[in-house]
Formats: sequence, C-alpha cells, structure tokens
Amino acid sequence: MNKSKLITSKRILQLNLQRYAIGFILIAMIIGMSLVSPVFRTSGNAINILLQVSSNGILAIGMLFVMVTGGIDLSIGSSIALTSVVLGKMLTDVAPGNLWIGIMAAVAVTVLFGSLNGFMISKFNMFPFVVTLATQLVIRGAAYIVGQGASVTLVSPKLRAIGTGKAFGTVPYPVIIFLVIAFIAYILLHKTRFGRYVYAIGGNRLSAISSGINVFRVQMAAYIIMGICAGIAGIITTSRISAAQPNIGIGYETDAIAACVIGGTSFSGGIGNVSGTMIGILMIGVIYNSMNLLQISSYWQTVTKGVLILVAVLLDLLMNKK
Amino acid sequence: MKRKFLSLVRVMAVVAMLVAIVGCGAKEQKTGQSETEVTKQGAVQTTQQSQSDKRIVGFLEKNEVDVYHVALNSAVTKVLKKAKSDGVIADYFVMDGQSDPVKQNNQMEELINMGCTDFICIFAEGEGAVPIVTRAAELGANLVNVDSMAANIDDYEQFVRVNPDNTAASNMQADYAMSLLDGGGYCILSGISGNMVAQQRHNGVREVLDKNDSWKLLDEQWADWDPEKSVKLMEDWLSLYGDNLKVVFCGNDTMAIAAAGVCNAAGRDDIIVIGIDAIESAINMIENGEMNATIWQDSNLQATTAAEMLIELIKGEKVDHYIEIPNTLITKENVDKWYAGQPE
Repeated sequence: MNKSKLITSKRILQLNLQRYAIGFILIAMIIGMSLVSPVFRTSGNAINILLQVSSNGILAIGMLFVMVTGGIDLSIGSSIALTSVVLGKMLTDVAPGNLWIGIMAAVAVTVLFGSLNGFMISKFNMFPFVVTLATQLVIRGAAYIVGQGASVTLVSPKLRAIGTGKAFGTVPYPVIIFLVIAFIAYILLHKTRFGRYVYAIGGNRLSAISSGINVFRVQMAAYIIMGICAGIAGIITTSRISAAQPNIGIGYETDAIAACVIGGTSFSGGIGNVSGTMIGILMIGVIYNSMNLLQISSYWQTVTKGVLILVAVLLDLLMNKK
Repeated sequence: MKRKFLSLVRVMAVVAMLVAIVGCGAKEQKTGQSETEVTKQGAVQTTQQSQSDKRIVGFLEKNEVDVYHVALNSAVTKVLKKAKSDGVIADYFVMDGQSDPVKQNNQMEELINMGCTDFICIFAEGEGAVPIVTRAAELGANLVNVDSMAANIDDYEQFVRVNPDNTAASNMQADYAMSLLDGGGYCILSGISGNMVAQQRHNGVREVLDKNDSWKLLDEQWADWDPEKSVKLMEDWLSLYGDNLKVVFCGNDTMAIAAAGVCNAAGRDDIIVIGIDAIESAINMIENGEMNATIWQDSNLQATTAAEMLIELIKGEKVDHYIEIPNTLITKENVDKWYAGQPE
C-alpha cells in the first residue's frame, strides 16, 4: 500500500469519527433527557423540537452552501425581518388576499440581497464577513423603512396555515418544508456537478479557477441559495407569529452558523455536509428544549451554545490538522 | 460510497431514535400518568386524577436582562412560589423570551406540553403575541397579561390585562415639563421602533406638546432603549441645538440616565431630563439633583397584582378585564413615595 492511499483512508476515518461523534453525542443526549424528563418523552415535545428547529434548520442549510465555498453570511437574521415586513406590506396594502404573490415578492427581495452579497464577494473578491456585516445593517434598515417601523398583525388564515397547519394532523408543515429543502440540498450538494464545484471552490479557490470552474457563477449561486432559504424561513416565522415585525431575527445567523460548525462544516471551506448540519441543528434544538424543560436559566443556555461551538471548532481543528 | 452510506445510516439512526421516543411518548400521554406527581400534603388521591384539579402556571417572561423586567419577573415568581407552597397551584414553570416573539410562541407550546393550565405573560411584541393569546383561549386556560400587551388581548374578556397606560405616562412627562417652563425646544429619545410600548411612550409627548405653539420639537430619535446610543445622540443634540434645547423626554430611565449624565458633564444641568420606569439608579440621580423626574409605574404592584389575579381566576373568582396601574410622577420632592412602594 503506498503512502498516499494510507493517508486518504486515515483521513476518511478521521472525518467519519468526527461525524459519528456528533451523532452519538446527540443520541446520548436524547437518551439522557428521556430518562430524566417525562415531558421530553412525549410525542408533543418531539414534534415541538422539530417545529422549533425548522426555520433555523432552513437557514442552516443555506448557510452550509455559503460556508462550504469558504464564505459566511451574517445578514440572514435581517433578511428574516425584511421578508416579514415585505410579506406584511403585500398582504395589507399592495395585493391583499393574494398570499402567493406576497410570498413570491418576499422571497424575491431576499434573493435580490443574496445576489448582491454574492456579486460583491465574487466579483470584487471582498471578504464575505465584511460584505455581509454591512448588508446586515442595510437589510435591517430596509425592514424598518418598508414598514415605517410599525408591526402589523396578519390575519390571513392561509398564511397562518403555513406555520401552524399539520399534515395528517400530526406533522407540522414547516417540518415538511424543512425536510424537503434538506433533501434538495442533499441532492444538489452531494449528487450534482454544481455541488462538487461548491466544494472545489472552498477547498482551493485557485485550483478551482485553473480547472475551469466558473467561480463567479457558483459563488453567486451559493449566496442566492442562502437568500432563498432566508426568504422561506422568514415566511414560516412570520406565519407562526401571525405578524410582520421589523425587529425579529436578531442573532439568527449565530444559530445557523453554530449548527453548521457543530455538524462538521469548516470555516476554511471545502468541508461540510447536509446530514452533519441537520444533526447540528437538532442538537441545538434538543439542548434548548432540554434546558427549558429542566428550568435551567436562559443565561446558561447562552453559555452552553457558545461552549458547544468552541468544542465543535476545536474538534474540527484537531481532526483537520493532520 | 461507503462513507455516504454510513452517514445516511447515522441520520436514519437518529430519526429512528426520535420516532421510537415519540412512540413511547404517545403511550405515556394517553395514560396521563406522570412520575413527578407527588402530593405535598400527602392527601388521599382519588383514583380518577382529573386534569382540572392540577393547576400548573406557565410564566412567559419578556427577558431577564433589562432592570425593569427583572423587577417584574421576581415579583411574579414571588407570588407563584407562595401559591405553590400553599397548595393552590401544583407547580409553575418560567420561560425567558429573550425579547423575541418567535421564541415566546415556541415557549408557549413547550409550556403546554409541560402541562400548564394557566398562563401569566409579559409579551415581547404586541402583534407577535396574538397566536399565544388565541392558543390560550383554545385551551380554555386562564391568562393574565402584564405590562406589554398582546394586540388582541381585548378580544378576550375572560382574560385579564394589568398594565399602565404608557401614552398617559408620556402625557404626564409633557405636563410636568409644561409646569416648569412656558415653552422651548425639546428632544425625544425613544425605544425600539416597532415596539408598542416605545410607540406609546413617544406618542404621548407629541400628543400634548404638538397642540402648543410655544413648544418646538427639535429632534426625535429611536435609541432602542440603549444607553450608548443615547449618549451619542445627546452629545450631538448639545452641539446642534445649544441653549435652544430645554427638555429631553426619554422613553425609559436607562436612556434618561445616560442623557442626564451627558448634560451634566457638559455643564448643562439646566436641561430638564425626564424618564419613565423609576428604576433605582434613576431615583438616586433624582435625589442628587442629577436628573429631574421619572414616571413610576410601580412594577412591583403591577406584577404582584397580575399574579394574584391569576390565582383568583384559578380559584374561580371573577376578575375585571382591565386593571389599570396608575402612573405616578416622581421628582425630588416625593421620592419617599417610591421608597415606600418597594418590595422588602
């Protein structure tokens, strides 16, 4: 066996180990909580967890694409707010009663900003952190301007149905939407040429360019995907609270990034996968839910999330060092 | 190929785990038993444990970081703790909303899953709270809304709201300024734009002073309840308006304290600074003459009354739908009134 083959299979084992570790930790947490809390064991609670992680999960899936290209998007929290306000404006002023026009307009706006992010990052080679830090403020401001700072209750029953309706009386629609998006992402990222290009750009940008990959287009696509995910997450969120609010979504990018990182996505790019991200998102959901059920102070929830990210990043560094 | 298969297996294992738990859990819920059920007095249990006997209160907090809300929260939990030890309620659970209406909606579902039959809520956002109130009505639960109201709370007569009139509070601020001066230039520092309380505390000032030509609005800004933003705005206003600026109306004490600090440091202690909330640091500044006044909405009274009203509702008593908490102007002359109203 030559050396290069040995390194490759060892590397694969290391990657698997890291991924297995996260999965086993999650299973251990679920078992542990099930033993400690009778409420945790109920179907209502399990469905609750899935429902709660749905919109953040959709954000995390979008963030996965962006992070695998070696980038980051800090503006998605603000996009949630903008989506909410635009949807509200459409449903109350511009096209009342027409839910789908409203939804399309809201998603179109986030796609527009996603393209803006992608354009500045790809065309001018600007740092994603800087660009999206700036657009985070622009988008938040836009959300306030569009709604003139006001919050609006949205009474449309069709809109409410998206966030609160259930298929077969048990599975909430947001969960189904999340699983569908995750499945599409899985196909896109792991089964198509586009997906391979995404990894290539994140792994080694110059090599990717030399191989003839249209880096500009692929990066734009990653940020547009993020925009679409932010739009959908924003619509689900708006539906669940039945209100268009300009000051929601604050800090949501942190949860999305945390989910990706916990699931094994690397900040340097080129590493990450859909199943890992889903486990990361579930883990965050289970932790929040567990701490609420155990009545542990929310101050500790914040600390725990931070510690989790640190541990995940450390694991990532240790595993990827060789 | 193998790697992808293994990762798929891993995800399937987690999903299978969840399904298994759901399956076990579904059975648990049907029997209605719970291991944590222990009677405090050791009374004889009837074999049919009806759900309506066991009252569990769910408390939705707005946040645990703001001085004003920390005071509200502890007053509520004090009453709930006593009700629990007296055996009036079986238990109570507390959730921190972190000022996020989405989180509060999620937490409502969690509280319901945890068996809560009655709710006391401080809402992060008026509009975003609408589904929570509707949900409580669907369950036939009791709900008391403290301080920040849900937009639809008045649609449900069976629910109770205990809150001060924030528009009246800022009316009071304007009236106080008018009692001191005949007119002049003024600025308004407001909270988070889009927040109902912030809007009301802003509108009340304009409501009174717009009618009076001798009062001139120099500027109004949304400082997001943030002292740092307030400092920056105050410094700018001092350089922009100089002696023309006579009064600064602040949507809360946190911003008022910051603004007053800036004015005093610049030697402008002639500027009248008025806040709302009557938090302790503001009271101290008023005593020292560093700030002029604040509006006291007696959070202790408010929260205690709200929690007590919920207990009354649980006992089956009839309670008024709206219990208004009075606004009291606190200046150097009557600080002892504030001290008298503080919890031990």
